[in-house]
Order: sequence, then structure tokens, then C-alpha cells
Amino acid sequence: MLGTAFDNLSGKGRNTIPRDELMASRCGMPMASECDGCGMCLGICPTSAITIDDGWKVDLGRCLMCMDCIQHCPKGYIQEAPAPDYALSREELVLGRDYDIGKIERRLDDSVAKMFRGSLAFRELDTGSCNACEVELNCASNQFYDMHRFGIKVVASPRHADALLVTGPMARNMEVASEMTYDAVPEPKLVIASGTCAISGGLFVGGDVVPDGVRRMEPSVFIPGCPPTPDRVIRSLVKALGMRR
Amino acid sequence: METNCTTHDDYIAECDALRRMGGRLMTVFAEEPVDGMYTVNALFAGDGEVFRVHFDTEGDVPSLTGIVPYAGCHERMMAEMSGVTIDGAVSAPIVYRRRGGGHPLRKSPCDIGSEERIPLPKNSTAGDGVFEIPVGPVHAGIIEPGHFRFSVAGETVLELNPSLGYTHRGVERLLELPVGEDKSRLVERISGDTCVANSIAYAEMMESGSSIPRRAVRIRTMLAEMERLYNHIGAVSGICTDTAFSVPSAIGGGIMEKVLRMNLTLTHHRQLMNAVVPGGIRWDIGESTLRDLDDFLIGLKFEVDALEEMMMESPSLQDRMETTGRLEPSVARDIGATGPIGRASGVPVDCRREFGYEAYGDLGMNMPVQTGGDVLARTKVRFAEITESFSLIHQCIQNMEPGETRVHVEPEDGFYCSVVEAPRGELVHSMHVRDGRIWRYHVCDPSFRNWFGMCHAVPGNVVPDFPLINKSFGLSYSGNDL
Repeated sequence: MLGTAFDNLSGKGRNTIPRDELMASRCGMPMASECDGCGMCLGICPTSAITIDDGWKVDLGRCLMCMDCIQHCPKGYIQEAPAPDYALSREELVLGRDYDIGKIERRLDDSVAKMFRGSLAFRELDTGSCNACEVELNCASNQFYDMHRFGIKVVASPRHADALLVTGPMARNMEVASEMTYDAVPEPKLVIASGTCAISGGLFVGGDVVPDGVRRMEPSVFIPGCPPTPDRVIRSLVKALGMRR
Repeated sequence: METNCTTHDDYIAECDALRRMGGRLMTVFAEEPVDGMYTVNALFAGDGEVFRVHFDTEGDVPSLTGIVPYAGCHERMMAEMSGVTIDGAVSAPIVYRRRGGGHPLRKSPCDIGSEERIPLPKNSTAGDGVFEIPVGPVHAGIIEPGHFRFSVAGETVLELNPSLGYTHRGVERLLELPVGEDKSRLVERISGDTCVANSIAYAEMMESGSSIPRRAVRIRTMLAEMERLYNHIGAVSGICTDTAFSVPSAIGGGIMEKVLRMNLTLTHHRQLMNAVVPGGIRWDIGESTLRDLDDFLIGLKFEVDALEEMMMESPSLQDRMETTGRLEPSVARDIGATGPIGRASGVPVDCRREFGYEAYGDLGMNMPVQTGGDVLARTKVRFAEITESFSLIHQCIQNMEPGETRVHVEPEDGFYCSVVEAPRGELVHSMHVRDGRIWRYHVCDPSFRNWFGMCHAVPGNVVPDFPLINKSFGLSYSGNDL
């Protein structure tokens, strides 16, 4: 049944829009096929996600997937490329031209995954996001995505939660409340950093935020995107925990 | 139009004169031209024009609360953010700043990193059997953070005080950059579900003086209405969710998802981000996509009508909505309620009609107004506005013109202001450009004053109705906190 549900999600079943369109929402990532190092994209990128010193690289943890670089590349070298849905470490989100989605989208260590793969109850923690992540997470429960069918559900209290799904750049005013929420989640716990802001601070670096605030909680799963679409969040959790059996 | 005042009395008299002529106070904010000196700006709207009253001071500002009751909330924000002192009582119940000793908008470096915490205000209601329920900042659902304090006797709420500011990220400060830098990405993320309205407001200021291709203007108007559409549908389906009316709640969620997917087709983003830029739009939308959109909306209209019928003909839902969370028209006027919340309480203000910005001047539209002020009235206004949005998008598509979609713009020095009707109401952006640099960027979100509406609407209701009232207001935390 889960297999069918998963296929539904990726577009094979009914109740979904054609596969291409759904994939488009998740594959939005720029990647240079060639590069002569003119540096135009460096100045264009709103979050400085691109580096060219050591070959063309994009940091998905900062990328807003706005595709400004594609529009401004004078030679048209930068193209849209398939992006990994998630990564298990911050470093793996920095992608060079030779990236391999299969290697990035690994499963969590079995000792961890085994505890949560049957069902995952998470508590969403907004540390100052702009509400777009919340809109998308609410959509993950609608009848198009219905994340309950994978055993993923949202709980009302951190006390009931297996995992914290953190969004937002950790506004300074939310620091104390976030720490208290983290402490309230019983062990063993999982932290999922969802969205550009949670991973790197995004556009709000330099404001009244603590950009590495979420990283102090040691997230195990990083879901890039601004905001991550519901299908991407579900796919990430299902794949990282090995829920599809 | 602008008036420079030299004395406190001048400032008060000028504001009073504007109010007597029918002007509506939109926002008050302070900027700091040189260290230790402030310019206080009061922006009024009247007859489709913005009037600016400003005066220089060393830090003490006379309060406008005697003239406009809701000026107090703007003054409190100004005092907390810019560090001015307000003469007279600061009457607003909401505290914005939660942590850090300094004033975030001061030009001189301030100690925002300090560990000092401002104590949460206590409710004034006390007595035998009165309990205080603190809620938040981390809530039970998937929503933004904010702290609420209820005083209750039994089930009935006697007093509600929100404390906001948890999502303060310093957006206004981050926007103080050379004016040529396109910061529409950041402006969109002031409030992630109001990104078109925010970026249109930003773009309009950047574009003042230049002429924008008509095709771009129409597409932007269309996107703004798509945004209103998904916000309103989300709000009404949320009302069903919070009353445990599962079937329409699921149907509403489905309709919203369809709109979001349509957004994806239009702009490659489900929340319509990255679409509006100063000077036009980023990507043109093809004719066939526009035709698809028109067809899609016709189909959607039937679904929305079915949802409305289901909600309006259910006696149990009507019972939950009627007389719940009443915001009296007189109170709504005093607190300056805007948008659907104001229009549901008999405040007939719609910036789309008043200012005719973007393409709204050429489009025909009605303004649905209710006087009930309860959850039902707000729901009815939202449904009526959904219908209006369908019509507006259709008119935009019908009158679409071929041509350019983006031009280069660069504003000169000066003071700019733009007013946009966001899904939640009147959204004011203003900026002061000095020597090619944005000296002060100010945003006044529609939720800012509507939060006070909620303080007035909740008392008298039972605690379990709070989520319902909250959802019917549908306010933004991040837009308010900036």
C-alpha cells in the first residue's frame, strides 16, 4: 500500500498532476554545465550561494532556487538541474558539477532510522520563518499529499514528538523558546532542518537572527528549498528513514 | 503631499486638520537623519493620495492618540524600535520587542546581543476565580510563534493580551542598502504568504516616475489576485478545520492546493515568489498558460460555490460562527481595522479602489461590506472577495496586451510611499532615499492594527472559540514583527 501511495505522490497514480509538473517543483536548482569563471552569477545570487574558486559550486543550503543566475548568465552555461531532496550533512549540500543524487540521498544510520521508520511524530518549530514554510507544511496534510499514510504526523506538544522539524532563521527573540522546545522533546530525538533559513539563515543573515542557531541543535536531515514543497518534505522523510519497504 | 511642521503643536494641529478632512492615518514612524535627532513621519490617506506630516525632534514625540485612537500602537512600535519617547500614555497593549536592550532601528550600534529580557506584561484582570492561561510562543498547530495571555473566569475569556515580536528578523534594517540593489527577494519574505503584495509595494516605490509596460502591470495584478485567492480559501477552510467540520475542510484544502499548483505553473513557485521585480516581472506568462488559467478558474468557481453552500447551509457551523468573535463597527473604526476584517465590521476601505494602483484603476470591482463583525461576517466577506478575485483575474486576462514585461528603473533621492491592498488589508511601504542609499525603509503590515481587533473580539467568548476567531482574523506574525 505504501508503494502505491508513494507512486501516487510521484505522479503515477491518480489524484495528482502529471509527473513533470510535480517534479518541476523539486528540481529547481541551477547547475553550470561549463563555466569560464566570469563571476556574473556571484554578484547576482541574493544569498551568495555560488562559489567559483574551486570549480562552479552551488550551496543548496543557501540557494533560494530563484534561478536569477540562470537568467543572468551571459553565456547561458547555467541550466536547471535535478536537485537532491535532502542531505544528511551540511557539507553534502554544497554541490559541484559532479554531484550524484543517489549518493547524497542516503538513508540515516539503521540504528537511528529503525526507531522512527514505523511512524514519525514530529513537532514543527517555527524559529522566525516568513510563514511560507508553514503554508507548505499545512499542505502536506491535505488530500493531495496526505503524509499520514506514511505514518508521519504532526503532534501538538514537543513532549509527544519523536522529531523537531525546524523552520526559520532562528530569530534572536525565539532563541530561548526554541531551546526549551528542544529540551522538551524526549530522547531519542531527531532534528530536521527544513528550508533555506533553517539551514543557513538564508536572506536574513546580518539581521537580528542567529544564523547557526538551528545547527546548534545538530540536525540529522537537511531539506533545502525556499520553502520546501510538501512533496519534497514527505519524500525526504520517507527516504531518509527508509519508510518505503 | 507633504507638510513640514516645526513645533509639537503644529504637528498635532496638522494631523487633526487632515483627520477632519476625512484623512485616514496609515502609519507613524521615526527615522534618524543624524545621530540623536529624529524625523517623525505620519502618513495619512485621503482621496487616493498620501499625505505626509513630518517634524524633527530630539527624541520626544507628542502622542496622536487624542486625534486618532489607534495611533498608540504605531507610537509604541516607534518607541520600542527607534528609541523615541512618547509624550502621554502609550496605550497599546502589545509589546513587540522581547529581548535585547537596544532599539533595533537606531543608527548607532546598539547592544542587541544582550541577554536582557523584557518581562511579559501581566493582565490587569484579577479577582476570585480568575485564572490566567499563558499560551505560546510555540503553538500546537503549524503556525507562527506568538505569546497570548488569557484571563478567564470559568470558560469565558475576560481579557486577552498578545505579546509579539518573536519573529523579528530586522528586515527594515537589512533593507538599508544602496537603492540600486534589487532586494525584492527579501521583501517577498517579509511575510511568505503576502509576497506579491509586498513586492508590488516595493516595486511601485522603485518605479515611481518611470512608466511600466502595461503587460507587466496586468500580470502583476493577476498574481496579486491569485495570492488573495489562496489566502482566502486557506482561511475559510481553516475555519472548517477549527470547528471540526472535516469534509469542507478537506475540500477547502484541495481547492487551495489546486490554486498553489496553478501558481507553480504561472511563476515556477507555489507562493508566487521570485516573480515581481522593480520594473516589471521576471518571466512573461505565455498566452496559452493564460487561457489555461481562465479555464481553470471557471472550474474552480463551481468548487468554491459548492464549498460556500456546504458551509452556509450547515446549522451547526452557522451556530459556531454567528455572534462569535464580534468586532463592533465602532471599535473597528477606533482601532483602524483594515482589509477583510475591517470590511466585515462595516469599515468600507479598499486600497485597490481608493488608490487604483497597478491595473486596478481600469478594472471593475465591487467592495463587499458586512456589518455583523463576527466570524460569519468575515467568512462572508472572504467568499465575496474570492468571487471578486475571479472576476478581476478574468478581466486582466481579457485585457492582456502584448509587449515588454520589464524595464530598467532606478529611483532618485526622495521620500516614497506606496499603499497596496494585501490579502489581509492595507499594506504600507515607505522609504527615504538619501545620497543613493535607502536611509530608512518602513513597512506597516495590515496585521499590525488588526491584532488589536482580536484583543477586542475575543473577550466574552469561550476559550475553545479562540482558535476559530484567530483563524477568522488570519493574521500574520512575521509581517507584524518584521
